[in-house]
Amino acid sequence: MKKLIAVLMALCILIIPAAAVSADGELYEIFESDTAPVMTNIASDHDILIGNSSSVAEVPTPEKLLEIEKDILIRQEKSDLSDAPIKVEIDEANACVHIFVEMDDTNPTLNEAMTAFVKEVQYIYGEQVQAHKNSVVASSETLESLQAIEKDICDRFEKAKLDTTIGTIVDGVNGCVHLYVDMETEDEALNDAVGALAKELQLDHEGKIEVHQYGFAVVQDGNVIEDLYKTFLPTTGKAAVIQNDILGVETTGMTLYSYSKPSNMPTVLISLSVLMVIALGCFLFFKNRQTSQASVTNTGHVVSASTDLSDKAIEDSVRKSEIKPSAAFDKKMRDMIDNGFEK
Amino acid sequence: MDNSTLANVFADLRNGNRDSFVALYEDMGTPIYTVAYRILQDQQTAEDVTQEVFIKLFSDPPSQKVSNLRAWIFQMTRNLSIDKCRKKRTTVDIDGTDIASNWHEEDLSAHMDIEKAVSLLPDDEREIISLHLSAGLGFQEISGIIGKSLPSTYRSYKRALKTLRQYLKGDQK
Repeated sequence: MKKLIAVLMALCILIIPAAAVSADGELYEIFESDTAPVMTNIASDHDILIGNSSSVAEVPTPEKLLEIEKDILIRQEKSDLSDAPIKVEIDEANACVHIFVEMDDTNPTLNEAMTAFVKEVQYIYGEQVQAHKNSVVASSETLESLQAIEKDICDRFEKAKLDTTIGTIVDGVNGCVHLYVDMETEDEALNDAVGALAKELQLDHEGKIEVHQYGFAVVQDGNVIEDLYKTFLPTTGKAAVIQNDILGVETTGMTLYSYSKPSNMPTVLISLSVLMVIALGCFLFFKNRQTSQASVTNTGHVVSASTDLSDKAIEDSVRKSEIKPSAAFDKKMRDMIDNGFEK
Repeated sequence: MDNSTLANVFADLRNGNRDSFVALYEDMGTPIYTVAYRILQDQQTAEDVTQEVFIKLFSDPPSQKVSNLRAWIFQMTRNLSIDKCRKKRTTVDIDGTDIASNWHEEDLSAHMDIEKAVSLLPDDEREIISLHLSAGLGFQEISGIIGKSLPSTYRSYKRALKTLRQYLKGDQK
């Protein structure tokens, strides 16, 4: 019996590593499932917006958009701007309301009033209202074709297996898709690969993609106080209105997709873990069948595939897991405050 | 408690009214302790730091020139914690290695909760996570406090989330 166990253990050690290498593709596939686009909602970071991350979780309904439009028109009326060149338009496809303002160079007072009005509305509705200066709606571009381009972008980034996050904005107003890429990582090769793919996409879609390198737009009290956006590739398509010329605040919603490349290390670790579990399983199986069965049951109990491990879920968990000082310390502090910290 | 409320608290304090200081402690005591604890990984020392922060705030309220009082308070918390850390380094290695190895001595297959996962992060990432999620500071404020650029701060934050995810995934497996 002992000889049989020894032979089986030896076989495990010799054969399974080879199997693990050949099964690498399968393990890789497990990781690949993580490469599916993950929509990242970072709108909870009130003071920082990447690109212009929209509140993905709160997409306004058509009814809400109607309410917003109505409210804007009422406010326009009340602000004595009913005759001003302000046009309000609902954009159900992009789940927002556009305000188009025609500035008049000969009337700075009116410009100021219109700017204040738009600022007020944007303050109230945030990214649900998008302001444009002297713009005309480019309605000829079909949204479907732009969404197809966006899908192609996502597909090709997913296929490329680059460890990166991209941002996309389907810009129905300007008839293009804005693609934001991060080329400021510490990995130069990754930066180059991301840039090359972005350029390739731009060429393939004949200028329908505007590529931007995203940095970090810091927003405070509704104003961009630090805007690190910059275009890094020459644009060949239509001019993109990314920044709102009126307020200097970006208002276009952006969707972020994260992709990750499976690293070799976890694969190796998993291979080793699998080996060890199998070897241990074999050993326990031959040593004691009953013990083996109990172990399997216990292992099965530990695994839980349903836990949400999104960025937001982790952030919420950390927020909730604040550490409280001891009750004795709390009492001591309150006593000290009551006594004015006098000893 | 936002900056304007904090300014009122300190104005009251300068005028001899310390009632609102209790509210300050109730609102910020736990976040201050959490940030200190996550840096120090030690309950007693974190309590010492928390006490020291409030004594300083009480005895020497920040000047009216300080525009971002909340960030200022957490910067003080961080500085005091790091001072304590340096003093402790002679006896305890706080670079995370020891904490991690101590943790590994426990049953890794058991429940690694989020706090333990946070404790395994490198010092700088743990700090950023705490300052953002527990102290509620923005990334620009944090970058000012820790002396890193904004993109670098944000990248470290995202890296920390990724690492936490890996730890937690590992826990599940």
